[in-house]
Amino acid sequence: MQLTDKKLSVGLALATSTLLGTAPQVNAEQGWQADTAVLFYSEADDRVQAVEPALNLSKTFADESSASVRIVYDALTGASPNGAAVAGVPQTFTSASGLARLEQAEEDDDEDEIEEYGDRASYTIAPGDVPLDESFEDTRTTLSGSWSKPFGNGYTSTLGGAWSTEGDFTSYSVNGALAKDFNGNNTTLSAGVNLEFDTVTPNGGMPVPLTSYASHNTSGTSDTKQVTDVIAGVTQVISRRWIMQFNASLSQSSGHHDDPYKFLTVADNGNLITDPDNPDSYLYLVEHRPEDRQKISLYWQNKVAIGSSDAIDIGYRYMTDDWGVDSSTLDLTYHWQLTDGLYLEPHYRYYEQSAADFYTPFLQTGSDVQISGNDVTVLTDYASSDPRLGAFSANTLGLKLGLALSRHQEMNLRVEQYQQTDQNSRVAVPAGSHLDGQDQFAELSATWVQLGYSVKW
Amino acid sequence: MDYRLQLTQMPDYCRISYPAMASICELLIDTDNPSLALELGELAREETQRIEHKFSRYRDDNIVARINSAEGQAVSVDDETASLLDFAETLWKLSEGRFDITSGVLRQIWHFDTSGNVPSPEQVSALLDRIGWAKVRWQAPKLTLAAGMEIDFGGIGKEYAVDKVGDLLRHEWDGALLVNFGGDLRATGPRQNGKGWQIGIEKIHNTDPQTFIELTDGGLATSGDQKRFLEKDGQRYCHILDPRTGWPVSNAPHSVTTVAPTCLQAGMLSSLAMLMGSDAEAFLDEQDVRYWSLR
Repeated sequence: MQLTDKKLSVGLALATSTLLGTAPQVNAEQGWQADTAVLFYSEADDRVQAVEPALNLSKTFADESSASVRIVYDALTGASPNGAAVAGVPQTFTSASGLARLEQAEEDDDEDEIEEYGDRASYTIAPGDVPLDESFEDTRTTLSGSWSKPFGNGYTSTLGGAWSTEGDFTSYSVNGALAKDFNGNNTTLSAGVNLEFDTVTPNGGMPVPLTSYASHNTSGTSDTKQVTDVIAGVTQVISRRWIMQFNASLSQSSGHHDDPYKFLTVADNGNLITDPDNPDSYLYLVEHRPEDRQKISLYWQNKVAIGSSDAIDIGYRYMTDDWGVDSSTLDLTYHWQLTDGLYLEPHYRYYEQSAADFYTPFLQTGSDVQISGNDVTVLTDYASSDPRLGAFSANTLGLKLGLALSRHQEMNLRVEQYQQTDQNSRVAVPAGSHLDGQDQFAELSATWVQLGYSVKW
Repeated sequence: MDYRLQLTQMPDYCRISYPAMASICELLIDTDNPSLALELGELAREETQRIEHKFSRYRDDNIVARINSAEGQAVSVDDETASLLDFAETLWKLSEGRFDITSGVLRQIWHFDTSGNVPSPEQVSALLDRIGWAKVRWQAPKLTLAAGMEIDFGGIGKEYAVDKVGDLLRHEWDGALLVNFGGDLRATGPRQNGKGWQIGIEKIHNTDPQTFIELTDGGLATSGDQKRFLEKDGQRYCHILDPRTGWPVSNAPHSVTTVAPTCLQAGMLSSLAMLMGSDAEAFLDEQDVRYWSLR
C-alpha cells in the first residue's frame, strides 16, 4: 500500500505554509496617501519661533512605481545670535537688513514700515545678554517631488528634485538613485547622487568678509554654492524581526558658505575696542568660512520588531569634515502599539559635535587681528562664532501619540524638547575685562509640537 | 454571468458574491456593516481576478501561456509562480507522481461530457509521452518544458485563490469570514456569537439526510465525480485521471470532503484520496484527517 505514511500530510502542511507564507499581495496598496502636519517650533530666550505647515501627497501605481510631492511653508520670526560675544557693557548694532528695509521704507514714504523698522534697524543689547538680532523674520517655501520605479530584475530607480526659496536664499536640487534587490529581497544595494545649487542674496548686499561690520562694506549682491553628495548603502534583512541598514556618503560643497549676517567681536585683552572707521561702534568683523567643505558620513540603523506589534528603531551616525567638525548622533525610537488604533512613540536622541577649526567665540588682537593706529589687519583666514559650528552636545526627548480615526485615517501629535550643552574650552580673559565672567556659548533649548493628519484613499 | 459583484445584508452577517474561476465566489463576513463588507468584497474580487488572470490556462497573455508556448525553451518566472511550481513539485514527490501539473494535456482526449466517448488505449499511451514532472527541468527561476508539454494549475488554482483571499482579508480585518469558491472553503473565526460557520455537504440523492459541518477556522474542499463523468458499458469513469497511467481512477468514492488547516491542504488531500480509488478512506484515516466520503 502506497502513501500510507503519515509523512505526506506533514510534508503537505510544510509545503502549504511555504507557499502561503509570503505576505499577501496587497494590490490594494495602489492608491493615494496624503499627510498633512503643522509644526510649531519655539526656542527659549525669545529666539526663533516658527510655524510650519506641510503637505505630502503620494501615489502608488499598479506597476508598483510611485510618485510623491511635498510642499512646506515656513514662517520664522524671532531673534537669532548675530555672532558678537556677550559682554559686560551695552552694545549697539545697526543691522544691514534692518537698514535696507528702513531706507526702502523712507524712499517709499511708507510710514507704517518706518514705524515698525525704525527701531529695528538699530538695536542695543544690555550687558550680559546674548546679542540677538531681532529683525530676523522670514518665510520659506519648499517644493519637492520624487518618482520611483521598479524595473528589470529587482532594480528600482528613483528620481527627484527640490526647490526652495526664502527672502534671501534660493536652492535647487536634483537627485537620482538606483537600488537592486538580491537574495529574494533580503538584501538591497543602493547608490545615489544629489546635486544642489544655492544662491544667497543677502538683504543689504553681500558683505565683504573679515572687514568691519559697522562699515557695511559690500561687494555685489549675491553669491552661490554647489553641493554634490554621493551615497551608497546596503539594507539587509537579518531575520523576520530585524532589518539593518548601513550607508556611507561623501559630500563636496563649493562656493559661498559664510552667513552674511554674522560677525565676531574683536577683543583686546578681553575688552571691546572702538572701530577705527566707525567711532560710534565697537569693532566687529564679518565672519568668513572656507570656500570648500568635504564631509564623510557613516550611518547604521536597525529596526527590530518586538512582541506582536511593537518595534524599536536605533540609529547611529558618525560624520566628519575638513572643517574640523566631527559629530556623532544616536537616535532611539520605540513604537508602542497600545491598542489597535492607538500608539505611543517615545524618542530619545543624543548628539555631540566638535568645533570647527576656525570656530572661536571672539577674535583677539595680537593673535587673530593686528591693530596699528587706524589699520586693522586680519591674520586669520577664516573665523566664525556661529554656535552651530561650536562644540556642544545635545539631548532630545520626545513623545509621539498616534490615533487611528478610521481604517484609513490617522491623527498624530508629537512633542519634543531639545537642550544643548556647551562643550567648548573656555577662552581665558583677564579679570575685570568686558568679557570676563561672560558666557562664551549660547546654549540653545527649543520645543517643538507637531500636529499631523494622514489619510489614504 | 454578467453581474460583477453582489452584496446581501443578512441579519447577522453580510454576503458578497462575484463570478470568477468558473463558479460563484462567495464571501460570508461576520459583520452587519455593509460598507465594510463591500470594501472587503472588492479587495477579494481584485485578488481573485489577479490570480485567475495570472494562472488561468484559458488566457494567451499570462505566464502560463508563455510557459506552454515556449516549445522547449527555458522561461524565467516570477516569485509567485516559482512558489507555486515548488509546491507542485513537492506534491508530485509526496504523492509519488499521482499529483502532476503536467497532466493537463489528457483533457485533449478525455471529455467528461457524460457521453460514452472513451479514448482508445493507443491514444492514451501516445499522450503519456507528453506527461510527467520527471521530464521537466525546474531550477528557480527557470522552467523548461519539453516541446509538447504543458502545465496546468487547475488542480490547485482555486484552492490557492481561496487561501490567498482568506489571508488577504484577514490581514485587512480581524473579524470572522468564510471564503467559498464553488465548494472550496476557507473559514477564519470564531464569529462574534462564538460559533463557527454552518456548511452543508451536497447530497447525492435528495432523500439522503443533510449533513452539516460547523467550521470555525480552516479549510474544506470536496473532490467528486457527481457532475463530470463518462459512462460506458455500465462502467462509470470519474473525471479524476491518474497521470501515471492516463486513465481514470477506478473505484473512487462518489465524493470526498476533507477538512484541514488551509483550503490547499484540504483540496490536495481530497484529490489524493480520490486518486487512491478503493483505498481512499484508508489513506485519509492514515493521514489523520477529518473527512466524509460518499460511495
